[in-house]
Amino acid sequence: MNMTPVYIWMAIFLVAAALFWGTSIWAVIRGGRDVWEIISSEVVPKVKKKKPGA
Amino acid sequence: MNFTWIDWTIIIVYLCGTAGIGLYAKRFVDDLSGYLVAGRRIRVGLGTSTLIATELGTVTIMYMGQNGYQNGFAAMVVGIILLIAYMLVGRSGFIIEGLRQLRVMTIPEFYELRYSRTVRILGGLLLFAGGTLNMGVFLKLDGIFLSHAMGFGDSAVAVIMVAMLLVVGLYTMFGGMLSVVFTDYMQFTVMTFGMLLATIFAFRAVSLHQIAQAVITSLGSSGFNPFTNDNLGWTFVFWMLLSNFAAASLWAPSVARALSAESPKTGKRVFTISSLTFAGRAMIPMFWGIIALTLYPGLTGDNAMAAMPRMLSTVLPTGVLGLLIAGMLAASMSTYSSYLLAWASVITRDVIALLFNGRLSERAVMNITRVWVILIGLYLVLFGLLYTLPDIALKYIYITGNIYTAGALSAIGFGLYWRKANNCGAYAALVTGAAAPVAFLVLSSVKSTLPPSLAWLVNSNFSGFASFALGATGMVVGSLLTQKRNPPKDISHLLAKER
Repeated sequence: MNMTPVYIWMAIFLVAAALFWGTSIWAVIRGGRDVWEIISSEVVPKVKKKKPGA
Repeated sequence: MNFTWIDWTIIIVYLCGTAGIGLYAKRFVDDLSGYLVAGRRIRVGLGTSTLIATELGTVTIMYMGQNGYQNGFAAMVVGIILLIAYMLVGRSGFIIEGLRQLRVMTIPEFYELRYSRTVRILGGLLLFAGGTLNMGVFLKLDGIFLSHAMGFGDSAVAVIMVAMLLVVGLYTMFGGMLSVVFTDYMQFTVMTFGMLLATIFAFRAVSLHQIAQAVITSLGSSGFNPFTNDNLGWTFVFWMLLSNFAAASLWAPSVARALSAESPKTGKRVFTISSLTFAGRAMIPMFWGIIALTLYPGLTGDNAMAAMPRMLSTVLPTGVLGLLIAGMLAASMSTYSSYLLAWASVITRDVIALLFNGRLSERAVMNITRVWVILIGLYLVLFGLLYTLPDIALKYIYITGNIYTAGALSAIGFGLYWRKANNCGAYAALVTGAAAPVAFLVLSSVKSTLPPSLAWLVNSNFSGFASFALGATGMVVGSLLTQKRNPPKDISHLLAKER
């Protein structure tokens, strides 16, 4: 059985998978920082401002 | 069955957490821009994670997995095409940069700005029709995945469909885009690790030699070469390239990420970075599909669709299965919430509000949007239960998307970059672009009565490819023939060079 096409597609698959998880893990870390910044810099002051009137 | 109470616990804890965050984020939504484009506060990291999450639902895993099962490694050409298309849009900023510079909230707003209000209404209607038809199969595919992965077989599909919709509908209606981006982020994290573990365990269940043997036995050389595969071929490859290029630059749920970015430059970066994941987004579930083909060869129809989740339910250990299903639910919820919001806001803002001539208050627009979220949800359940797909799910998803993208690629692309594009050209592009996919969907239901000479009309590859050619021809011919009667609008002064 000729395994060459399988090896070629597996190599392409592994590159795609590495890009997927590499980028995803980067986005998890950077995204977490962005979520925290939105909550601490914009959202939290807004809630504090609303509370006295609520 | 590997699905036990431990997996149930993981899923319930996860669902409660997500719904809680979605409802918590509602407190911070106080105007329409907060509801639709998250107040344009989204930076690169969060934008990237939520764009990937939006584009990676259980439905994606299902139709990509089915494609892997039915076409073997040859199916993976779609992953390469996705990477190229999203990378091109991200690097060039084609359409997304222009739309962000114009500060429009939805794509049809561009139609009014560049053409006229009636073009906007027509564009909004086609976007809504294509989008909701496209979304029609989501719930069914998700139900099949979850029911089989949990070991219930076909018996729980309908119950799972309704339960999922209720949870998603709740926080989409009350949170809007800001709640979507927060929950997307959380869901994206669970999904990333769930998919990694699932791939490792699935790969351990079979050897590379067994995989090769199964693909050769079931599909022969067409399991490796997309150009000699009867289901794929050159027309399919070009159609996918055009469709994905159009989807990357125009598909409302993902373009919402560019429109909600803090600057046009951020929007481009989000697309470029996200594009790196798009090949894996297609190829990982396709690989699961190929492993399912190795374990359960020879299945067809809905059984072929269910082969991949069935494989996962047997090869993944308890705990990992729960984590993956929680991740899949997560992915579905983020996809549904983004899509429900996108289509509901299009029909409300771009059709209904215009028919009221701007007399609706912002609050009323928000409430009508919420009503549409409910209506689309009900439609999803009915459509999922009653409709039979005319082709494999991947092709159905793309052909319904083409009802909108084929004409819109010309109407918006030419509108941004060709001064001669005018009203008549836009009408012609939208109508001719939608013609081939609509003809395909209608004629597919009477396929058996068609004479052999008309069989090409129900070839999805041909219809999809033709829709783009017709859309572009409609725009160019329509505009050039009516330049004097309909002089084009100039919006170059609105394209401020905001970076």
